[in-house]
Amino acid sequence: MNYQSTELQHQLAARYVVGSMRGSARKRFQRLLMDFPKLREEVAFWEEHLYELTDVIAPQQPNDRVWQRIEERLGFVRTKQKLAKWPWLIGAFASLLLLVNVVLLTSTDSVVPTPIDRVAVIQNAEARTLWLIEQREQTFEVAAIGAIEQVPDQDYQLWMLPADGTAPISLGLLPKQGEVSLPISSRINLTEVAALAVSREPLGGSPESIPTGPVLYTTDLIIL
Amino acid sequence: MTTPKGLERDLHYIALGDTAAFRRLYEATSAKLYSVSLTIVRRTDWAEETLQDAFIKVWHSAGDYSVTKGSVMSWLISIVRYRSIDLLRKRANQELSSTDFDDLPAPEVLDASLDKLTQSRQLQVCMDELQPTTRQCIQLAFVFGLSHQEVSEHLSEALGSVKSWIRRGLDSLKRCLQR
Repeated sequence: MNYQSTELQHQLAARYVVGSMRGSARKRFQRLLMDFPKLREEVAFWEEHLYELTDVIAPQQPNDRVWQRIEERLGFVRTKQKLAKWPWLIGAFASLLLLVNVVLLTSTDSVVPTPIDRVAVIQNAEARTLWLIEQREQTFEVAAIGAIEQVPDQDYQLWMLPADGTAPISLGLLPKQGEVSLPISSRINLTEVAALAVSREPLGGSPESIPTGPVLYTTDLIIL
Repeated sequence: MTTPKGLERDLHYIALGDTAAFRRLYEATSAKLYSVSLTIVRRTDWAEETLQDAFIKVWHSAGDYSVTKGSVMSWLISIVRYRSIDLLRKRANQELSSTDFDDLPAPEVLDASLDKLTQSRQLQVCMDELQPTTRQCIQLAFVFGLSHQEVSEHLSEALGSVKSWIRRGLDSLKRCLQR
């Protein structure tokens, strides 16, 4: 490799780590990093030397809900709403809607503190239910129900497809088993949802703001 | 206070699926990482989202960490900084408002804050060798996540000058750090 390109590598890596590289250049560079070990070494050099610049920032304790959400997203804890208490809900969609209504009508506050706004059922090509999703005021309560293909090195990611045809918006990672509670960001407008979609992504979710893996399933959010 | 070795050990355990080690790592580092993100994204909800995403990544990628690549804190801070910068890029209203600029430290405060770099004498020496304005540009970009354009506005300097100072400053810094 000639001197000039090595120089270029130095500069690109430094600009990437410092953060002055923005937009599509940043995304392109992230892809280059996967292919060029020398670039990764350069990036590691800057990361190791510059991170202590952040010593000027005083540590600040995050709210306890951050850890709670992390535990929920990773499936370490069962969410407050016990979705699995309705295993018999799996089945025909019409009966699901009916039964959820019955539960809502007969529940006390101690059982369902926040009402269910909408539900979605994600099914495979054989119409077997894989995930049951309830939209509440601030969360999606998701339960993995059916035979979900266990892919240890990949995650399933849930997306909202806006009705205006703009790019999908990530709603979080779906559990491969058990239940999780996905917080609904206040910036997401759920009134104009065309559909939900599930894609298969690298562990931790899509590195981009849009799906990078195959879209496996789509479904509707049904208003109760 | 968890030692660097303790963090390395916990990361090793996390790679094996140890949730107690994961909790220890969170308790030892989350305040630092949250403040790093908050300084860049400047909104508590965004910083909380970044911290969540970063720890989800840590849980899944702990096995990718290698001591040869640097310290655990350097690895964690990099994850949080990049997530924060990516989040700013994705949000439509990523441009800083005039109120945001008011919240940023004045150049002289930035310079004085470098004295807090007690851990890395070498970094402090090398930063000291830079011109004051260059030093401030690099700090504003690295610590506060400002783009070239935003640094230029904050310091009331021409965009071209800011770009060139940062580029040349990083070149000098690299030569100094390798000495």
